Amino acid sequence: MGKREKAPSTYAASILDWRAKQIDDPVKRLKFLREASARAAGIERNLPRHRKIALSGAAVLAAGLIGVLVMPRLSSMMRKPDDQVLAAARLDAGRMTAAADRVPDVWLVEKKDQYEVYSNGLRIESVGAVNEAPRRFLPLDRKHPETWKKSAARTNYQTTPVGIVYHTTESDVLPFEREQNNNLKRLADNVLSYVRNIRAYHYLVDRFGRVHRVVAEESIANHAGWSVWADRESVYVNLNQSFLAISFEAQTRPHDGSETINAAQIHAARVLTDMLRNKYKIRGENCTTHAQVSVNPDNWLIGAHTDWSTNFPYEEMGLPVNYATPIPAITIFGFSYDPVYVKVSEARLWRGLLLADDEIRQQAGARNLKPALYKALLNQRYRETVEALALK
Amino acid sequence: MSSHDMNTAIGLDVGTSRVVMARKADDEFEFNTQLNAFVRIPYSKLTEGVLKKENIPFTVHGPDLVVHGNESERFADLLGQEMRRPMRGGVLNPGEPESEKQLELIFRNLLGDGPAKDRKVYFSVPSAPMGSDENITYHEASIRQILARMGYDVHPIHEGLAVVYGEMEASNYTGIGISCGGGLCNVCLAYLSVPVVTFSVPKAGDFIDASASAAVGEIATRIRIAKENDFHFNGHFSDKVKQVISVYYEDMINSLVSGMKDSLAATKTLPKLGRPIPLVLAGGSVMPRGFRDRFEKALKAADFPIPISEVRLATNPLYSTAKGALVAALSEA
Repeated sequence: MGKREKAPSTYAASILDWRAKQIDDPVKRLKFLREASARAAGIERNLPRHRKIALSGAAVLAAGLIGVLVMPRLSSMMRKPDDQVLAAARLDAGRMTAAADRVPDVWLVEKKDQYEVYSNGLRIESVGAVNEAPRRFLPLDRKHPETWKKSAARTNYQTTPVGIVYHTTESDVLPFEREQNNNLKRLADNVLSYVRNIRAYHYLVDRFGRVHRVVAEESIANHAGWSVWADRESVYVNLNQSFLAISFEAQTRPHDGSETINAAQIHAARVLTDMLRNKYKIRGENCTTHAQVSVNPDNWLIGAHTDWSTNFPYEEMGLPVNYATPIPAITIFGFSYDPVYVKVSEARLWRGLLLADDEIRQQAGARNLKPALYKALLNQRYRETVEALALK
Repeated sequence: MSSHDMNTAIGLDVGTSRVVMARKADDEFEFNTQLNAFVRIPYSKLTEGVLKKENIPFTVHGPDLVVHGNESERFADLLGQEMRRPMRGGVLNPGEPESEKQLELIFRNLLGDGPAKDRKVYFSVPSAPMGSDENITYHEASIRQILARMGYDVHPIHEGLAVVYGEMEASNYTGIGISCGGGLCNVCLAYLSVPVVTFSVPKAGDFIDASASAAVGEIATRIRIAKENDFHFNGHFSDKVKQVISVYYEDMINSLVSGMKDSLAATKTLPKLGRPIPLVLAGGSVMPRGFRDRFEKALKAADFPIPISEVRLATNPLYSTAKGALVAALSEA
């Protein structure tokens, strides 16, 4: 039998594939691919035995390839990636910005106690929607972080939502088949009842594409407590206060390998998003996923929650692909990420991570600081900001 | 990497039937090829003078003149002799005492007498045949030794992988490369340039020549000339030689497809490919018109375990392996 070598894992491969295609010269492309494979193999060889057992070969290769070759190394070990890769990532980010502000016109056609109908075909089931504490938050001026500590003295609270965070319920899912109809309905009712009890989201899109209002839009829902996001002007901390939440009855990575959500859910979420964006003038750049905003201040890592860490259908939803946005928690507050996050984010989110790391490196360089030290200072900024906003 | 390094790297396809050299000149690939064969003719001063006048490469060996490379076929046909072959079945011919010496002469003829020191040469080596304990270590070491003796910085590359490197840039060097030469059909499934599975099937051009030769009582050299000159698939041949060639070609294709199917089915570590992959056919034995269609038909009939996006012939089937070896050399330069 012939010779066999280990190929890159699926995660690493999709990244390598993308990156290699940015290289026009066939010889340079081959050089890149061969070096990437060789280095990944080296990483695996150098791991202690117990680590090899703990991490599957695929995970090691994925983490290795991404960590060593495609992305800068984490925190203080960061090194500069190819300009070509950064340029491609920036191009994606540029496309994102260009499409960000096109808000479609949608209006309310009919409102009854049980439902609302909108001009784009959206129908919201509003029976059982609950009210909670009213929304009230302070956006932070992105250009003047020195003012953030004085937030406690401010009174110019904002009450209209500025963005949308997309979630998945990660609840049990059954095959989407005619024979399962009664079970699918039962599960949808159970999930709705549960998320309403814990005030988890503003909207739930079940597997039949029905849109249920869970918590009133004017109220705070408990969907993204420790979280950070930013647009061009403002930084938002604790998005429960400032962002709406739409959740899909779904699992980000279904065990049976099926699609995360179906066509009915995509359509429903798209018309809902259009309505909300029109109503509150929400920018496309502020429509993001839970995995991109979630942080854990105990270990200074992003991705405490990983729903929609991959596969979110930004394009189908008529939204800019925000996976390419540099993760604000990294660039503004110095959070980091670990190989687990890289693994679950697969190929789509790495551009955002790459650009975030590059931004940190540039900012640190401009201040003549090592990136690790600079990040520690940003961590301190986060602590002070949270304290000032009384979010602790 | 300097442009000087780029230009001096060499790709060498050391095949049973031909040796092909590739190098880059003015950003273009440049190829040169020699038959991997020689023929002995009785020495006479007159013949020696004619060979010199015609610039035909030869050496004097005892009572004989030895003509090697491209001209050996013409002389063998004229004299009604079989050509002698330094290689057989993809490796050095164990029954040919002059194999290494003649191979070195052919290499020198192809590579020229320019400075060899530190010039990088990637040379093709076959993969071990499926189901065989045979290994190619001796062959590889011998070729390496010959080229190193000439002063080159020598590296081997599997023949199927070289086809992938030569032809599959568009799919990021992912796909199946097949080189059907004289002695073997070498197969490589590569994923993002990594050779995942490589093996060979011991039925190729020489098998067709030898089998057809035995069937019709014609010397193998003439079978080979008939095969390479005007044989094609999908024809109704009144010529018995072509009928027989057709039969053995079918046998070769079926053996190749079933060998690939068995080998890939037995591989437990295939990567998740995600999408269908291309398959490229290279080597002198894939050149008859209709080969690609016949191969694709056999592939479909076999219920192949990996989805294939396209089956295509290499841009230039004779040069693909050498080109891929050169690309590998340049990528390491």
